[in-house]
Amino acid sequence: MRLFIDVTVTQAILFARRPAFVIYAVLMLVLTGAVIFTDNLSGGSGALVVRVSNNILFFQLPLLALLISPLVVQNKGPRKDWLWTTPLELPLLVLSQFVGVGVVLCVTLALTGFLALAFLTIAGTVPAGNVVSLYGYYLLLLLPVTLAAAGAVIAMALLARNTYVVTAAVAAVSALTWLGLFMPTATLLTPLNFTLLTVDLNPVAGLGAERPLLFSFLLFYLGCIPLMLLLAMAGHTRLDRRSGWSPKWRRGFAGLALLAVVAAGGTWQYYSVNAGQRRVPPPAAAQTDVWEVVDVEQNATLKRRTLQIGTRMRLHNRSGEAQAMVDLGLNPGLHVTAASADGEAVSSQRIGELIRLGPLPSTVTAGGKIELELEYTGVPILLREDYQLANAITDGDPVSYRQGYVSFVGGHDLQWMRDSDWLSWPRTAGPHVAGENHRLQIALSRSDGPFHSSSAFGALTGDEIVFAWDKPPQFLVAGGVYRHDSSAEGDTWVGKLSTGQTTTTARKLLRLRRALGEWLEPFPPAAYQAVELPYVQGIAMGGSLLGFPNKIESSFSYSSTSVTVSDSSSGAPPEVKTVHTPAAAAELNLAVEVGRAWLSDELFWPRNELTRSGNLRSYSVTCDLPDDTGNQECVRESLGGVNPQAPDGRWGEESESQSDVAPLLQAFAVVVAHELVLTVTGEQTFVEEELSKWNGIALPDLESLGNTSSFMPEFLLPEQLPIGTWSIRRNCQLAHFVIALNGFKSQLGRDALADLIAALAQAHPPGGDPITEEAMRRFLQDSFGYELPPSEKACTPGEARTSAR
Amino acid sequence: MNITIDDLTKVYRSKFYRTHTVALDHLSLDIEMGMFGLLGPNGAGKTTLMRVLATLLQPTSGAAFVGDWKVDDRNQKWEIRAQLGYLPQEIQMYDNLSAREFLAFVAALKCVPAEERGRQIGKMLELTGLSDAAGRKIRAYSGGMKRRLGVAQALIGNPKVLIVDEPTAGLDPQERVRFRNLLVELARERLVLLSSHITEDIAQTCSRLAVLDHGQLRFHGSIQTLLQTTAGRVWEFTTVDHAVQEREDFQVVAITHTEQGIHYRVLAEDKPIADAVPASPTVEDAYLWLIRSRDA
Repeated sequence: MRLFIDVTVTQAILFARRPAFVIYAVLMLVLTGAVIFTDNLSGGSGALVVRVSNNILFFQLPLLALLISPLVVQNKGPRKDWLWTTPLELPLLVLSQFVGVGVVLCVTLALTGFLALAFLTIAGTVPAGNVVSLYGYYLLLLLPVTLAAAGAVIAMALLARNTYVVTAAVAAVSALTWLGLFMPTATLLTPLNFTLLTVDLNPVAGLGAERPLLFSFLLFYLGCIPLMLLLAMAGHTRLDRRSGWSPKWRRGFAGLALLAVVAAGGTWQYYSVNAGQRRVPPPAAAQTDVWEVVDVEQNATLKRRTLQIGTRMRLHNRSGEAQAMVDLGLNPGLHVTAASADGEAVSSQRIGELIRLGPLPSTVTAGGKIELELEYTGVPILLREDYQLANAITDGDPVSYRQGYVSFVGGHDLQWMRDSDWLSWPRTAGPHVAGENHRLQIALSRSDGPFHSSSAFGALTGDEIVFAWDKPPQFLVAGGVYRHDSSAEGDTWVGKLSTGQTTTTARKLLRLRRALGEWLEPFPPAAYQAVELPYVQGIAMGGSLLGFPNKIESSFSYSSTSVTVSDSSSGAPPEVKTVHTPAAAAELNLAVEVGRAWLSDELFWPRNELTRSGNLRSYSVTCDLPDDTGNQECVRESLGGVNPQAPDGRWGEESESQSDVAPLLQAFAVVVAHELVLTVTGEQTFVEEELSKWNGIALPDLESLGNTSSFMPEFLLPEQLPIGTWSIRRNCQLAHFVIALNGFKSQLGRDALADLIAALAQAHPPGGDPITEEAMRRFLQDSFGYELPPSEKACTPGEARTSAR
Repeated sequence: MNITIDDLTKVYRSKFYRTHTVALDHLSLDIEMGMFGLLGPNGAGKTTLMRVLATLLQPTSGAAFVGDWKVDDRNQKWEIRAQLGYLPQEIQMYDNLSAREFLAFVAALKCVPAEERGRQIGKMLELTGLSDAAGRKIRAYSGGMKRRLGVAQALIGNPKVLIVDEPTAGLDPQERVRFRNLLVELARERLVLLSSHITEDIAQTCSRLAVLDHGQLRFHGSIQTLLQTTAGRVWEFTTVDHAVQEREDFQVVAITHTEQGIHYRVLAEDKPIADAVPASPTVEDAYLWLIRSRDA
């Protein structure tokens, strides 16, 4: 052991005294600084740490080859005979080199990170309380891969015995991977891979849902090191007979070799299992919108991350065909322990994200009903695709469908949504609310709390706290380590890694939520709470509780953008214009989100239809404009092969964009948002400008009723588009609704709009019938005497469906 | 500790060029404790023999033992390495270390007890005259200093067998003398195998030696025996006749221009000219005579 320490210290000194090492250390510091100074801090300080780690990991790889291989190669040749006539054994030397190099690299990177975080803390970018956590994540992301890279370089140098060959090989692989030649199939072999590139260091949950995949991935990297080194040593002793190891240790080394094989194989297997669990199951033929839930009673208990749920539901077959089995959506981490239909036990079968119950005791005829009882348990798995916003390293994101809402439970964090797959439900595009009676009860261990719940009360029974709902809202419960802030607007709870900007956003949201409640709710709550949630794509509502994602403000595409304007006819060079959105625009963006979330929770809006096709994550679909008959050609382009980090695909909605909701809902959200902004900020001029922009979109169409060539909205510049538009399609129909609803509000007043929404909510609650354009037109005419022109006359059917990416 | 070499052959084969070179050709030799010289021209196989004995090369056939341990035995070679000090013909150390750090590293490799290391390193630095420069990086050393440091590293651990290959190459005369004396001193307690082109080094230090040429043993014995092989064959004379140099019946060892003419020292079976007088043979004379006779 003493010998090992002595040799290791010498190797570390030899490594650290190389001039190239000094250059490396300076470059890493400069690189870290460059990333920090150029980062826009979208996603908070956690995302910054991920970006710094990724940049260091990628750019240091060729440098490590250049730096480490001379240390290994220098011992070849007769001039180093003095070394090989000592009792030094190759394994000891190689192990010492690895440890020496590893320690020096780790210390260097640790110091670099420390300096960076110290600077960020002094600059006020990172709260001092977050430094330790962020530093831990930085080291976790960086060091295992760095050690693996060092091990790989040492192994290559032992075999190649030439610095230039090793450096050229590593640099070539890095460059080709970066250029996309090896993407994504070979990326597992380099730091440039999806797991690390798209890791979500969440402000609320930390690694959260990433933990199993990331830990197993990093463990695999570490597990490869002994095997790489042992294989390289075995090869080296054949290339250079001077080296070798004493037979008295041979048995021990044989044991080590066995352990190395087991470590590499075991960690790979562990990673494969975790990656496999987080792959989206392949699409399966299933019942879509076949069953309507009439009554349901759900009792859920969560103890030490294990979920136990009992469900009793009465289903109505509305498909028009007899059904011999029932498909229910259920998270792949949960398994059914008991199932019965109409009191008789039925078998259950797991099919991807579904469970199939059947054959049923008797076929359910069209219009018939069946009562199911189901018990299931397990640890839910959050599929990576469901919460991961960044899908690729290219700008053009591949198509990637997610569940609209997901639930999550981590070590200290909890996010529970109604429409997630924790609560089994028939496959439907609508909200998971029963038509008649719907009772949900969730029991949580109090020691895991505190919790933020949309339930009116939480009953305490022993160590449990039980929340109950009738007709539950979307946002049910949240828990976690939060930073609490209280203000006049209400209580805000933001994640431990969130910055002050998030608290500011939360206050804005509360202000808007309060304004909305006082305007549209008959009995607005006295106090509101805004809770930052780890894995939501947009705002989720539940009574006085508002959940929001960290990235909500940065997700607005027009908040600040650069556009290139060129006039081909004049031949002038393109002009780059930067469009800055004023504070009121940011407020309006938030107001649209708040309005839409509230409206979604109060009314049943038609959603996009579910399809059975699914799409590969690593494919992009580009469609031409439709022809006169509505047909359009779509081309599927591969962005690379399928690998464990690029799952196969999932059931998707027909829409290409997750945020692409029904135009009618979006129009209501925009009009409500205008009113909220007027209430909160008093920005009358700004709202009028917005309305004129909507008119700019709608009027050409209104003037050319029946004219099928009106695609003007597609080509408007960003500054000409009002807030709330979609960047790709259906803006014409949306503008038509916005203008009409705004006209309604102008003519009859804001209270009439509130009455309209209340009446619609009563007629079309979640679990009831979805609101349609035709139903609303009739309603407006009958109840308010207001004429809503049909959108088909304002916009062509083709335009409404155009999918131009 | 003795070295025994029995019918040792080493052939270098090149698969690429499909050639083979016999570096050692059925060599048999016994080397006992003390100073032993290995003399031979370039390519004679001296370095190959030393590398075989130092367990760095596998012999093609035959056997070599250091003490009781066979050099090419996978188990026993580690025992040899534990007893061995080796100074290669060309040495490259870790230039970014100081001499003291480097010697500490070597001491660790040779398993010198920690409490003993400081004393040994200090002694070696003093012995090699590097004490004043012990803290300097090796890259700042002169060639001679590096050579001395090479010797110091070979001596660390008090090896029972010391193999030094051309140790005085590149040293100035003063350092050479100092170095030779050092080796003689060391040879009192161990076997020192000294390889050199320089006959003077061998003559001044070794009581026994071997002469290798083209992988074959040309001589093995004491210096006196070697000198006897040339007794009566060394002649000196002075002449003004330049044509003498073109004669093939003797080998010119030395030429000196004097006022009387050119003074020759030659090796010949018989008296080369009438004025020639016999001279006392030196190791160099004997070595050249051995090599010449093989060529003849």
